[in-house]
Amino acid sequence: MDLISALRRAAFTRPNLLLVVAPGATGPRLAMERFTREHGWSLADTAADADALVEIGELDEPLTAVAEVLWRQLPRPAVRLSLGDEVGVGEALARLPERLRSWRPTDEPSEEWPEPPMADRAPDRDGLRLDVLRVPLGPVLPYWPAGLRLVVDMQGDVVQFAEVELLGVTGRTRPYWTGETRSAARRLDAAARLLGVAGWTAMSTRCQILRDRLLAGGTGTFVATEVDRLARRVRRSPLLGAMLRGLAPLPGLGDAHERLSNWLAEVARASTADEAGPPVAELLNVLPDVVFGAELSVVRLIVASLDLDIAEITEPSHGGISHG
Amino acid sequence: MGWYVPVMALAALGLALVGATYAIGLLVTVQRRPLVTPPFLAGGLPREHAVSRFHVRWYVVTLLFLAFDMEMVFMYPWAVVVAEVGVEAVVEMFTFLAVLLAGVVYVWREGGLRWT
Repeated sequence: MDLISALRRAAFTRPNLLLVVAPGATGPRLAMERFTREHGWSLADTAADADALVEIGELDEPLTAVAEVLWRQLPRPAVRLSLGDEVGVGEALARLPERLRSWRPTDEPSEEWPEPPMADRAPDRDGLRLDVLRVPLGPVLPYWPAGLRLVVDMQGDVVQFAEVELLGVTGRTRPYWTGETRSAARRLDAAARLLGVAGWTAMSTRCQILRDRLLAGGTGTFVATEVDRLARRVRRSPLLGAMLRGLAPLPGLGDAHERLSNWLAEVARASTADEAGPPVAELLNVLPDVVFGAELSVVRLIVASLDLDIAEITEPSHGGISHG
Repeated sequence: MGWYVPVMALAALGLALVGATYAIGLLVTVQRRPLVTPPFLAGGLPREHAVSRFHVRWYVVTLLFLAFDMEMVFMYPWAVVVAEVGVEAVVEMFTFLAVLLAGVVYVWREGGLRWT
């Protein structure tokens, strides 16, 4: 059995992780992303791709149900972890390869999944009758806001209806992006997500590295010049421009391309504190209208371009204290 | 009989390769029972079956593709003899292409290629 153990050692040196993140658990998520980046691990896009399911933050009932579905979808060997805060992240992850190598088959019962019915038809925009598929987007998708589920009605690849569901917001949920440094880091995080969805992975990773440097107390000037260079490259890219220009224009915020440029410009100027965007509740209200008629991949770009932090949704209910 | 030796050898090699694939699979697998799971839907479950009807537009494109696919089938033998037959063959083929092109123009005019 030396062959099998050798194969296992090779296969699990750098496991792929699938993250279920509670809104507001941004701290441990960032620690996680930093660890995986520094160790050359990668985050899984889907359950089939993953070796471990990592629950980050405190999951409420609906999010636990999501984690439960995903856990049953993970091919074995698989390990399930739960991380509460950033302190234990490195230690828990460092033990992961060993746990995967020593995994032994258990007598789990064979999975029974319900057989869904055939899709029904509805009139489409061409005046024809076409199948309608009800598809959930999120909460576990790459570069997707934690705790957001966008349920869309698809006809072909076109969104005909959308509604927003929020998961994981509890009484203890607190937004992470507070204070000046974190606001700047938030802009970089948002840029990293949008660039990631757009497929410019190298640039996305660059944004994440600068974000982490900023949060670790990196000097403003170095980060600012780096972000400035990065912003110029992003602005100049014709491909990215073709993808994002004119996409989901919002009053006062511009289209997706302008929003991305503004985020980076804000960090480069090191002045984010006075430029808080509209409240997340407002953005969530317009989201279904914005994605109406969009193609599936465009929906992902639109959501990434809005920089939604679901954890902020709890703020208005705290006795009406508002930023004035 | 000697004619069949290469064929038999190839068949044997094919079987051996397929058998080896299965054997390696059995040898290194961690769990014999395959994972039965619905498609990944970001942590949700599908509400409808994946089998669904396509938009009628695709059928127009399919018919167009078939027309030109068949044209290519005719062009291969034509390419072999065109030099021998000469001008006559060239005229015939381009007349044929013109007839097909008329179909494309018709579909275009009817809006069959309009996507949005």
